[in-house]
Amino acid sequence: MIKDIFFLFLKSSLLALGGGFVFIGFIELEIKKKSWDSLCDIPSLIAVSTSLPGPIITNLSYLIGKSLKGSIGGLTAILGAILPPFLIIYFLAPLLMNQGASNYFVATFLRGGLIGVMVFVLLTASRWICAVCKMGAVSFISYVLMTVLMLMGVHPLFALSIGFIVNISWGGKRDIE
Amino acid sequence: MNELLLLALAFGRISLGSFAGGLASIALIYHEVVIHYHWLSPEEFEQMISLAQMSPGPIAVNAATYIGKRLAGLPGAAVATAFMVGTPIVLLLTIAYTIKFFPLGTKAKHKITQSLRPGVAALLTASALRLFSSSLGKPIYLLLAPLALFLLLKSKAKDQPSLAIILCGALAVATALAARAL
Repeated sequence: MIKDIFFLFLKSSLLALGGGFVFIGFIELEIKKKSWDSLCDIPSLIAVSTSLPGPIITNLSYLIGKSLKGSIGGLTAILGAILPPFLIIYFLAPLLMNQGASNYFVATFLRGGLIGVMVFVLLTASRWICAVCKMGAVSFISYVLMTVLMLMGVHPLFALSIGFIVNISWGGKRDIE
Repeated sequence: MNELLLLALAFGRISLGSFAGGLASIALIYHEVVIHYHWLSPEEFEQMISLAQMSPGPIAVNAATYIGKRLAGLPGAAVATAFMVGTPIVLLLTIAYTIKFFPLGTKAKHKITQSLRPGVAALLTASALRLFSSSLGKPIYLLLAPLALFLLLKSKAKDQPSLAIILCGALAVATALAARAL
């Protein structure tokens, strides 16, 4: 079982390209295919993993692994999930990046990719901003304030804490589900 | 101070602030790695983010591995990655332990999640604006933005963001090649 867990997360981490939400969809299917879904309550594990800070992929891997085979299972799942990206970045990145500065095409490739990342972040941001707009004035003003603080160079974690305190005290009058 | 300790602290903090996944962590990584510690130049930061989003695995974990290795080799990469991944797990275990003594109702949990939302929106906006301002250095690349928008919203690649991003890079290279040939 431990071996199965390791290889399942290894495979999922390699194939589910594009971040946490792609991984969620992928692993849900894989768990069903293995009929492990009776062993763990996937929807509630997804809810916990996305409300925790930190990478969703590793949070979810840990939680699923833990429901399947205890703490050892959790650690195995994390190991499986981070091994491929770790090795890829460890060996590939220095190769690309050290020559990247001098190699015109590598630099162009990464710069083109960055525009894609920017648009991706913008799209995700716009969805969150829409949700915040519906939450009322306090939430929206605190959002603007936090953004300005972060861009001014205040530590994002500090800005986040201020916003959290403001919102938990006065925000969210009009709750949305 | 010891480099490994600094890496552990920096990526522990990044991890604690990264709500709702990797994209929101871009602003945090920028703050720690570029503004605070000057480990990477803004230019290298952009390249790293681009590469991190193209390769498998969480973007923040990829960043941790890359920066850890640059600063302190294999031990650096291992420490930075471990703190990026381990901090939320430790937090989770602490919360699980605390909740045994102070149970939280569904309403309270809902309230906490709600109160974090404006912060996530702010992190994402700050991340997007950082990337936008760095792309202004070479504004010609912004011509790729409509293509990226199409790929991420309308095409078959919309469920595969990494693929869309790789395609943007590939098109940039193709254009550069064509420009050379002419």
